[in-house]
Amino acid sequence: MYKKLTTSILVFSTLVVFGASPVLAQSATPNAHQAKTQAREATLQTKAATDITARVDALNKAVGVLNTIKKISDTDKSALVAQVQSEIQTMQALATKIQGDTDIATLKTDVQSITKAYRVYRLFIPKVHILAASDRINDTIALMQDVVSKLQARITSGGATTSSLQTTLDDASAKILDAKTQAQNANSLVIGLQPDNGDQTVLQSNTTVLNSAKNDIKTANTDLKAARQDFQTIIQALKTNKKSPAPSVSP
Amino acid sequence: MSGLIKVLLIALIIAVIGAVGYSVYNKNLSNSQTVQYAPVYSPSAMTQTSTNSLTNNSDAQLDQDMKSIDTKLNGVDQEQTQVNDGLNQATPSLGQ
Repeated sequence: MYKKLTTSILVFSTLVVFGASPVLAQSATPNAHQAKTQAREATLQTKAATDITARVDALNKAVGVLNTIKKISDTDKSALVAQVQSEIQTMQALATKIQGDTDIATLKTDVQSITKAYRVYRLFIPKVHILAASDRINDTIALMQDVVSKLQARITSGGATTSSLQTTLDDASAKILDAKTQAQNANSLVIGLQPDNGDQTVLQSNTTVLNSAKNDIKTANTDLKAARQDFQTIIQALKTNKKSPAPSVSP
Repeated sequence: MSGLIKVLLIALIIAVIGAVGYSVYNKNLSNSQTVQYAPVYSPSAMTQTSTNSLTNNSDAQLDQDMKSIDTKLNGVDQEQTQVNDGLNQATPSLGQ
């Protein structure tokens, strides 16, 4: 009796376990898939939030840099600040949208747009720093031109003893003039650049222009350092001349 | 009698016009008599001006100018570094 009962229970249990397995498998697979998708979404949303925060921070710093620029018209400065602030708002709106995205395909597209459409690091930050570099170069030029005037006065008043320094001063003046031209070129090239919004042609064009402006800044900086070296040479020579003045002609 | 009244009326009108005219003239005159003060230069402002002029063309001032140039050139270097970092494709941490 007990043997029959035990066998029945075992048979029943086996049937229940194996009979239920397909049902369990069918219900577990969608749940697992859904959980995986949700985890993927959460990962994307977290990464997007981090990336956008970093870009908003960089853009806020860019506004600070723009506000320190001196040698730019108020109109241009206001337009640039407005452009960067608009980008900050766009980034913040995108962050909100991404956190609310429930469709994985839409979420992926939105996350990709952080880098592919808005170009914070590829356009805005280099553009602002090129403008700031151009401004600093112009500020340095103003002081260096003042020093050129001072050295010119010394050379002129020194007569024959200092005339040989004129060539060096002329070289410095030419270098400063070229630096001014290069800085102006860099400024003019980038001031009107706009985001490519995913357009590859505009992206390539912007990249070419930014690299060209970067080279202009580099040339201007090299020019100014060369002019500074010329100054040093002249100042040293003037000091040496003072220590050993030309012998006076005796009757 | 009516002739006298006419004369008196005309005299009264002339007097009123004259009084009003004088009043307006006097008011304009007082407004235009604003005292113009000569600009006042503080000693510190004058020192600042002379620092940048050719009158202060001493060796010490030139050395100071060179130091200022070096500081400004450092600022240019810093901005140039930022430009290079921003455009450097080989900086994956920055993304795009």
